[in-house]
Amino acid sequence: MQGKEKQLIIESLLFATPKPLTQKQVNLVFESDSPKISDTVEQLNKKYKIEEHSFYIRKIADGYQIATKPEYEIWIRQLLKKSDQLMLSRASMETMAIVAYKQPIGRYEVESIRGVDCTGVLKTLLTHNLIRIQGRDKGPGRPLLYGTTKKFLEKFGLNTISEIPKLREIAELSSATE
Amino acid sequence: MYKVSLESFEGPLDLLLYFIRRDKINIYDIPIAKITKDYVKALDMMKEFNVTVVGEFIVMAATLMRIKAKMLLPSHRNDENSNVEDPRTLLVQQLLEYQQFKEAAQHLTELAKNQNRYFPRKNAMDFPEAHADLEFYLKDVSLFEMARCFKIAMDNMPVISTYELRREQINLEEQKAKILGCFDCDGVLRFSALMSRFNHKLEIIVSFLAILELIQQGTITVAQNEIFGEIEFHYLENLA
Repeated sequence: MQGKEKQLIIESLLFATPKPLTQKQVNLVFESDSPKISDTVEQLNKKYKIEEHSFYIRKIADGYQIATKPEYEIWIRQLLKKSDQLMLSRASMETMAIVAYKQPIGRYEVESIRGVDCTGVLKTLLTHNLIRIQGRDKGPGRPLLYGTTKKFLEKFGLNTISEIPKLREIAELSSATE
Repeated sequence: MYKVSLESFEGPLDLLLYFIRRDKINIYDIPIAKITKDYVKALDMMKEFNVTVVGEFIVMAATLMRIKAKMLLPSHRNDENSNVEDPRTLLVQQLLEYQQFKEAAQHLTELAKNQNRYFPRKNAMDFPEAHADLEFYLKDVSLFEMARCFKIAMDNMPVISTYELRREQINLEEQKAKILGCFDCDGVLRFSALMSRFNHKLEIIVSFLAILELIQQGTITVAQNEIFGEIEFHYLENLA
């Protein structure tokens, strides 16, 4: 199989896949002698750039996907008639942040940071598949521990969890409030 | 008359941080007496809205008062431990940690917003699902909002000036059936439309309870399209 053909096969996979395409999936497709997806993506993106397309291949959630460039957002919204951004409520966002930074974390700890009951919010995040149960704590009552999912990475445009913005140091915070 | 001057707060810590920001207070030197006063005032305001002030807010009020009391007492110096801890320390730590995550939440919001600008190929395929998603988010109506609408409904009730004593027995179950009967064929009912049907306090109160029960049973859900906007009820069985 020629390199050119492999490139086109990967392009077709990217076109058809509903989820970010990973190297692992590519390996399954090719069985043997599978191309390196990152190299192929680089070549394809170069090609798209020369040919001037409205889309390119993005690295996200440890995989690759074809996506439109942000400058076409308003036109696409016209078509899809999507109202404003799909956003989580503030309570959900705060809880999301705490789980993202402190995972694995139990409900009690989330609540002690937010100072309010978080049962409902955690449930919402669970049903949205943004967090998942990672196990149980060893402590009394063996409470459930929560962590983030791949969908979280996708929805927030991250590749790995380590890409979330650094928490501002407490010392910095206090000088800002003064 | 009442005035809405409270933003919506996510909890007692959020409310305290609001005071600290508003009055440009040094977080390491919080004037406990003043902030306790402001805090209790805010709770009173919530009560005026007929919101049952949730336990967490009351716990914080108690905490503030305990700190205040501790600060008034002369600190007895321990010879071994001459460093007497400021009674505010624990609270300050809690506030700082909460603020840290509040900021992180804002960063995440930005990330998600940015991500919303890219449309991956899969979008065309799961568009209906995206729609369902949207509805789900709209259902996120806070209790505070519900209570506010309830208060408006109460305030808009005509005052009966004639001398008349009457007490109608209103049954919760009957009221539930009545409310379900008010839904239009699409299974949608506007809060204001529902409230205009009732003409005395007890009926509104029982209706409110009935609504809460219906929500709990999963028969209906609440949705609100915009902040302070109209609240809508959706009859779930209709969707099936």
